[in-house]
Amino acid sequence: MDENTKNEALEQSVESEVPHDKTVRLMSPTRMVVRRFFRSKLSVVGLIMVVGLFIFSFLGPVIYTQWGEIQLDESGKTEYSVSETTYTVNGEEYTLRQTTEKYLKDNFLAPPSAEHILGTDNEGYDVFVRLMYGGRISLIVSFIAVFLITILGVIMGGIAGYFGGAIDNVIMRLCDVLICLPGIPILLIISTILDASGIDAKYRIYLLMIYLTFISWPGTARLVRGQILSLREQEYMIAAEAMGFSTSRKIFKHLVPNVMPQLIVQMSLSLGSMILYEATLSYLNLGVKAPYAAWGTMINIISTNQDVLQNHLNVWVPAGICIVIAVLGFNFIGDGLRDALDPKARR
Amino acid sequence: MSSNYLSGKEIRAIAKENKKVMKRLEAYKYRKADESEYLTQMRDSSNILEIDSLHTYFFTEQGVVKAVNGVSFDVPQNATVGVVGESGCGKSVTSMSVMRLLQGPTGQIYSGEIRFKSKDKDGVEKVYDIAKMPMDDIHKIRGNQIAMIFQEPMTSLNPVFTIGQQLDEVTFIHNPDASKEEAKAKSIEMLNLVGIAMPERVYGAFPHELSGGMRQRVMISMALASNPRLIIADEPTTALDVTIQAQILDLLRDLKTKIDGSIMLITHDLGIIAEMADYVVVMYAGRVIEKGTVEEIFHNPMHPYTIGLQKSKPTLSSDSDTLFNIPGNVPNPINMPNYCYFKERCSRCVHKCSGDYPEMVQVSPTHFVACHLYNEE
Amino acid sequence: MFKYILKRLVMSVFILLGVSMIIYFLIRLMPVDFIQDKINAINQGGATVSEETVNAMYEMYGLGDNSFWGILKGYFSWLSALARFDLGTSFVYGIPVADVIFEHMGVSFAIALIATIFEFLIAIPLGITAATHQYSFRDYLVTVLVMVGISLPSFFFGQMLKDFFALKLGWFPASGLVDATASYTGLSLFGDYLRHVFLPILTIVILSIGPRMRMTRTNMLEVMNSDYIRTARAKGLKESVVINKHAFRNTLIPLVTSLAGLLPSLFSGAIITEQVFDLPGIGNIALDAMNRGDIPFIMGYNMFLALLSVIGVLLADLMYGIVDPRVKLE
Repeated sequence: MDENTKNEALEQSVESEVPHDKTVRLMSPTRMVVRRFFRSKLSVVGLIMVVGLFIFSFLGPVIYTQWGEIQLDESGKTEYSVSETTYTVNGEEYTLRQTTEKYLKDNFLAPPSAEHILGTDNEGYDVFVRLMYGGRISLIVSFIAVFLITILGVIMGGIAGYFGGAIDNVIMRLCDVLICLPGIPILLIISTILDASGIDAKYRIYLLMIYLTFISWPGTARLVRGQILSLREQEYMIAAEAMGFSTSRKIFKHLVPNVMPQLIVQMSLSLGSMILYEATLSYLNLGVKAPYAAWGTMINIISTNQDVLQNHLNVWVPAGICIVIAVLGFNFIGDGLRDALDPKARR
Repeated sequence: MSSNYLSGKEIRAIAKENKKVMKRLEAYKYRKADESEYLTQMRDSSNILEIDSLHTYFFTEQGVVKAVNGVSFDVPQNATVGVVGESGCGKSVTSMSVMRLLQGPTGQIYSGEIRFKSKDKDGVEKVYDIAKMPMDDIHKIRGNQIAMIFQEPMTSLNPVFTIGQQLDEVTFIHNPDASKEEAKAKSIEMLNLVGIAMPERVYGAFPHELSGGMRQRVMISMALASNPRLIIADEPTTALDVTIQAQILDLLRDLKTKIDGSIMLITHDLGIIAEMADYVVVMYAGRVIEKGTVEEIFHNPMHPYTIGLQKSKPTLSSDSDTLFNIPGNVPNPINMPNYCYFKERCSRCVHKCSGDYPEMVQVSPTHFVACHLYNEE
Repeated sequence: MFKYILKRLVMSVFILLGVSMIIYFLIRLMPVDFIQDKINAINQGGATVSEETVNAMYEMYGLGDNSFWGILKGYFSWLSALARFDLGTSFVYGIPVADVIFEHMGVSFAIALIATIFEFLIAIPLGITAATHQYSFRDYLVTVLVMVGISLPSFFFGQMLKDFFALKLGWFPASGLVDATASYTGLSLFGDYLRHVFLPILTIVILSIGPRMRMTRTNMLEVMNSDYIRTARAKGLKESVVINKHAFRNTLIPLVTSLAGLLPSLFSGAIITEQVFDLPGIGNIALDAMNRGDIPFIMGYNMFLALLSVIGVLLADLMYGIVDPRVKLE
């Protein structure tokens, strides 16, 4: 969509929303956005999903205190194995059945029960509780990353668009370079570096996400820069300049309402993709590492353990479903916001 | 200020009501129907188009916008009818209703009749009620009996096809058996007809390679290619330079005689009307307030609004330095008052004007006006 | 046009230099003894990294001198080797890195190509129906399904497919590219390949339909509201012609342009999917190499990816000029 026409449409819609006539009552612009957002059933579903996950992850462990994140169920477990041997003595067949009873310290791979709502994993941790703690990590990490990316992107894009010239050129070429960096491979390298430097397993995911922000800001920067440049082109800006008003104040005054809707939409959509990113890293055993829980880490086990993959769905499927719900929720919200904030949408 | 905004409850009520009506009208639009359902009779056989109390509404979140609110006028055969009014008065929506080009589901013909006398290839005349035609049958009329020229020549041509491809298409619609060469010959003939100097070159050009005037000529040639009985020209010259405007208008006038059809010319420019039209329809806020022959409207305007319009036209002979302007604004199309819409801006307002909306008064066989000043009772 | 391409090519070289510098510095951030550890581990694992190879790498990367100038010197020696098309020798495979890349690229390319074809064949019609029936039940259904596709983590969805179709139902093999127990030839070998790549391709297609479909839908909606579509309708064209010819041709512009941007993903391999189904594609090889510290390969592979994305961006711009008659490249 052409930025200019979009702005025009915005201007027009703002104009038309001011009632000329005192007897005519219209919808307030805020109410219109809210109404458009909530009219779409998908955005409501998305909101419910995300809010639900937040409650589950942050209030869940406070209410459900039966097990901790890294608390093993040491109630023990007995494993039975039966072996049969057939002997033939004097033409007659005898079967020797031997039962071995093995006592194990940890109650691992327990099926779902009242004790463990979703059973225990291959180490003996409670799956349900780890889902909550995993959710905390995923949500916190994604929010931090998106927040940092947006701030960095707004600053860089703002500088590039505002000052222009050589500064703009340098920043934009830097964007070109960063966009060409292969994402996952680079994070793999960084992760290896973190491994070598012996950082605490609990904090490495945060560090990793900070590195991720350093290579992910160009998208936001380009958006902000584009907006500033198109604002500069606007005739009322030129008029303001001609009349001796400070353009910088005007730019920021107009920039905020122009770029905010797009930023909000982009943020909610990138929240989804950050959750996916984090989960993928954890799945590759590069993000959150054992014994700490993350949704991706909880699925990691099946890449090496066929038995869990086939026979203990309760260990890994719930984590996958949580990821899908989170990503889907943010995507629905982002989509709903895009429709609600689009001044051209008329229905 | 906040009392000027709708409450959440009202918004929900509007949305609910709109949804119901829109659903019904959409279903009606896309229904399957036999031809007999929309066959009708002309009131006057010398007309080619009769619009009869047409209501076209837009169902918005803010409420129902009655963009066309009971418009009636006729387009006689071989005549040019000018529809004039300020922007937002519903003149374009009227033409879109005739073409059935309203953007659904918000824009809908709510009620009324649009009778059109069509003539198929074998010369058989049939009268259709366009407002009742299902969308599946609309191609019987649209593009081949009625053609339209739009206001925005810059964006009205598809940027990815050449002029030739877009013109040939029209020939193929009406004559699917035509060969490529025939279609090209016809297209070039059409380009010639609208006075394009190098038709061969323009034929192979993309729209962005042509100027605005050239594009409008192409649009006109496209409208002509199907030998329509009625051309609707929606502000065909508004986006063009004054010199080009004159050329395009000359072209349109010539063409009317050449194709032996009628033109419905929509404009806000009284000068164009005076030059081109045989009949004039003056619209205001979705209603026809005055209609008559061009002489009647220009020499004997009756409605205060028409008089105001003419006064506000700049002339060289006028002595005054300032332009006349009609005070106030067009009322908001949502929740229209049920008295005369012009009352608040009218300088000749009488006591009666606070009453019901004025009826059409016939002042001569062709001249009608909707104003209480001329109401005898 | 020629001048434009030349300008872009020069710029691409600079971008690649920037990218390579970043990757090189990142790799140099790994402690040297860490690299030695990794080499030892590889040696213990059976493969032998010859002293010679290690020395060649040390020389090529100028490891050991970790001062800024040392690293810079190392970068230029790596660069000069690159200028001779020498990416070094892979530790794990003991052959030149370029050979490893080309050897495993085929599988990844075949899978990605088939997946991309299906992706476009499915996503475009879906996007068009969703747009032409905006806000209808059909639109919602397509949107929801496609959004679920976008939201699925590839490893989770891949493992689910593997668990259900391969392990539970046994319809498809769970991993690898060929059946090791059977020796197929000719057509049956081809059939065996197909059976092995079916689930990976299905995974990729379902995950990637989403963005493509959304893109088609958005563009289509925009085009459908334009003046020239109104003109096409006013001409008397049937709605199907209006959509499939006039609107579609315009929607195609960004779609074709995006095709060029797919170049990297065609050759670079789907790391996660290949890992899940244990395919010998380049993505899986790279993942393995990174876990094992095969530095020459990591460097070579990342540069290969960067090169692909630079070419992808350039091609996308050129395509734009070809497809859209309004765009003149300058």
